Amino acid sequence: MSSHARSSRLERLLLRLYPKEFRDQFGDDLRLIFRDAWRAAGGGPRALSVRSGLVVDLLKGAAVERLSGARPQSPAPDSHPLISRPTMRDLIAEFRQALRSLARTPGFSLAVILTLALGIGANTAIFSVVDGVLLRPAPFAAIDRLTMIWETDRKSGTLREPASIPDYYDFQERSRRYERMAAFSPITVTVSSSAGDASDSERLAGLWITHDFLPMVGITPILGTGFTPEQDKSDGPNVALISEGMWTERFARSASVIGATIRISDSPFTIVGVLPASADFGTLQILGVAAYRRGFADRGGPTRVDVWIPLQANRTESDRGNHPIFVMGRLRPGATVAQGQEEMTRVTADLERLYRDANDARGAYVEPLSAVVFGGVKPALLVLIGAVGLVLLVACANVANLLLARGAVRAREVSVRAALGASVGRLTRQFLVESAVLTGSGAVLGILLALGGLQLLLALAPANIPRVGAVGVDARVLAITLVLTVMVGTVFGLVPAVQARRRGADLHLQSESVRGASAGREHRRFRSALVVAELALAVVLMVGAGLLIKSLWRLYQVNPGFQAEGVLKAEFQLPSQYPQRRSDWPRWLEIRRFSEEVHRRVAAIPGVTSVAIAGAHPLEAGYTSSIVVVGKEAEAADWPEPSIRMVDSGYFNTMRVRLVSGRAMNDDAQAPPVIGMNEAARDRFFGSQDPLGHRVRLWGAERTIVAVYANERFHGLAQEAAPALYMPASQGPIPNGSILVRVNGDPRSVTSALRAAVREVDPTVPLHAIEPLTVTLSQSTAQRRFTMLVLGVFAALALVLAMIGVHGVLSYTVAQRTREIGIRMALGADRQTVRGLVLGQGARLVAAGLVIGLAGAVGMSRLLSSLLYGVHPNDPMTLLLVAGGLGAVALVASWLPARRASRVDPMVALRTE
Amino acid sequence: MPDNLPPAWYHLLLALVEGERHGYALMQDVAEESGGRVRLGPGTLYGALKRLLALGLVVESGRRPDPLLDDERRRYYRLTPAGRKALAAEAARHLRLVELARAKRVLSRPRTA
Repeated sequence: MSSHARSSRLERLLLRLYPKEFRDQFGDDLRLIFRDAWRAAGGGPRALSVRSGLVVDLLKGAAVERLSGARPQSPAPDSHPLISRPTMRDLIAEFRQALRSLARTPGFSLAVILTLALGIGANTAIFSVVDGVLLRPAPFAAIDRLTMIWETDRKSGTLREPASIPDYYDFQERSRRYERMAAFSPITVTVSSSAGDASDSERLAGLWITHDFLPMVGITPILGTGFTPEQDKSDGPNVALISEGMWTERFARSASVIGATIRISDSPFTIVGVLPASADFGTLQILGVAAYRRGFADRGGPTRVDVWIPLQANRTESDRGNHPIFVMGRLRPGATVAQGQEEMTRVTADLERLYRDANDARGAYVEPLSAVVFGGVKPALLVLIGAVGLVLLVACANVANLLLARGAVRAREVSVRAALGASVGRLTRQFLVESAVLTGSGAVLGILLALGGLQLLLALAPANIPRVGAVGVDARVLAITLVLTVMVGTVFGLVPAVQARRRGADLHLQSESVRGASAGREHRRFRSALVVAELALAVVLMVGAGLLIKSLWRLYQVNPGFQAEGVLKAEFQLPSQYPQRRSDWPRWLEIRRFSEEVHRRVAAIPGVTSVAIAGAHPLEAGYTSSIVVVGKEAEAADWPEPSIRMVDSGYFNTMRVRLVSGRAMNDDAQAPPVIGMNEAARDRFFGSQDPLGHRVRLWGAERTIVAVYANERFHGLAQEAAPALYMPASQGPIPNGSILVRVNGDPRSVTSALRAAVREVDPTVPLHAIEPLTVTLSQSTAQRRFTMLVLGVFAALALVLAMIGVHGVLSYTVAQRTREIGIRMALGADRQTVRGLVLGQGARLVAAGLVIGLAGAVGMSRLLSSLLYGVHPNDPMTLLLVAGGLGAVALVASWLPARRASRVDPMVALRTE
Repeated sequence: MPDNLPPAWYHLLLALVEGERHGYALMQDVAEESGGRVRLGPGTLYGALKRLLALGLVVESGRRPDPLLDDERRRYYRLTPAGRKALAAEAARHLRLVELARAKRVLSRPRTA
């Protein structure tokens, strides 16, 4: 019968697990019983569980027989007199014994557990971020064939400019290497559910997209449909796609969202579909590197795209000189980026010839999408991986070191017990259990650290790291680091047991100086080498962190040109009933009334010292326009477009921007048009000439330059100020922008009063992004701060680990050389000399580590250079500080073992072995 | 003499009081007599037997087939005098423990019929 055949094969297999002598003694009978029981299980429902119970029982028996090792006739002294083979109870007892033994040396145990936990936790957290951000496949299909097709301006030297609508259509028609192209443009919109009610209105980021954008990148709506070509016509309907996030927040993920109406910037739009959370992949990064028209990407702070609206471009009526859209294309399979570039260069050259006015000096720059999206973060993330890898190495080295040291110290104990009859199996088992407890605790703590650390990282991470929202703990990485560290722990933990087995018990019992000289020295050299390596790695990390800290410090020293402290910013956008067309401008009475009323009421709020209304707050790049200075028409063709900043009369006072020359622009609407400029504009357009009195042609009027102001760094602290012109609000009212309020005391305290004041003037105008300007300012350095923080944490970690290593090695040395120290003291050496001995050894280790570490830091500093500001990668002061710091900390770590050495009682030392 | 016997051994020795048994029968008897609380599988059974043999409490008493099972020759085991003494000592120890519990009114006294 087949059951019999099956069971007999199983029998034989299971029996093989038993030791030979057992098999010889009981094998055949065991098989019989097994067979009987197997057969007796019958065919009923419980048969399977009974039979598996039999198998398990046989496995248990085999394990027990194997592990007992010792001959049953001579029981080990520290076990039950009758039972000389381990039962479950025995194993639990051994577990408890291991715990006790580890608890007796809490310093060591804690050091190992913490080291393992830190290594596992840090590694997993960082690798999860790197994997989630960089390594995971992008949500766009075949992203390697997607490129940005930027326009370039040879005259101003910009590389990543948006294109004009007629150019976009020409690109499509004239290109053969691209299988299709699409365009998009950023917008910021006010979204609310019903007209005239500002209560649930939000200021959100949106994109105008051509109908083929989503199919090109390969994103499909999770509900509803995308845009049809009909909807993308210039007279097409008001339809919109919304994000998954908005669907959840405003519509509770109900299917009734399709066909629902929402108000986008005061007009009703019908929702035709919902896009997945990954649909805005790369948007922030693409807009972030554009030369202008960055839209919401300028703001900093978390932004996701929430609405998509069809571009509805009108090819025939669009101005070729106006560049509102960004173009992305998908290369045909087989076409390379270089070929794409070549072709687009040709196309733009053709267009330049055809349209000399509009397309003068305009070329194309083809850039792979992945370079745009990931290029910004790749260096920082790679630096972080490097750091983590180093810390993991340090951690493993430390653990190995600590275990070896402990093993060496217990070699004696091992030999004694072996001589008294404890089986090698038992000893091995004990060390195994201890290692298991250590690595197990370290692993559990490590997992907790990984989870918590990841949450912390994500909370601190700047929002413009792509896909940072979707990062989670990577199970693979966790598994790999767990396995790695557990292996290290087990291997090095078992070394003493293995040695006992190989060398035989008697060898250890001889005096250490007789046996130990050569083996001890080998060991010591290996362990010292490990510690030197740890120190070197710690130095490298510390130098990196130091450089970043210095960079950040330098950055904070930069004068931004305005004073952000004490200012509250609130952004507003006047709804469409306010006339917005440029041709209406002298009659923008409503807007002027709004501004003046708001100004008056806010200035009356207690605590407010001054108020300003500006088209862009000092940390917004604002929009640019080309200008001509009367008399410099020829040169003006080469000029970059300056930023045009609309400001009211209170601006320069509120923001404390210095007037360099000229007068304040207090002119009213009836006076002749005037304009101001910043120093950068003066230097760029006038050189050393005095600009006052010259006229600028802008927006249909010639405006006299009456003031020059100090530069404001509205692109952020790290970038030089760009040329800018200041237009007084009296002569060009501000329909959207920021209200800036300087407050005596905490800016946040006037928030509700500010809201109330604006509501009194017009309840349909909501305020957004209300925050102290200092918060906006710190957002601009967010990424640097983040990298610095992480690297700093790692450096601190590595330092702590290295110090544990130094301390461990020195303690071990002291323990090993107790006899020698005793002799020295007996011969007259005083405490100080002995202390000096140990400290000297410590100093040698640190010196070696420093030399190697500094050399390594100098070598690797190139990697950091893209993250530094105002600091040379080999900044000598940083290197010096690190060296000094390391030395000091090492001294502290060496102090305890040195003290112990000096306290050695020569009598005791000489007596003990 | 050993201090206390693990339950498995106690039951094994007890099962052998009535005469020799082979392994499989011992398995069944132990399971039955302990009310299912002590279950020995083939592996654990032989582990225990090995120790009992080593201590001289039990001895092998030849091989022959069990007419109720099949024709295979199985090993039989029987109790040695030392084994019998160990069993008695253990039972007495249990009795002393029970009487202690009764004295402290943990267990009620048996009703004399």
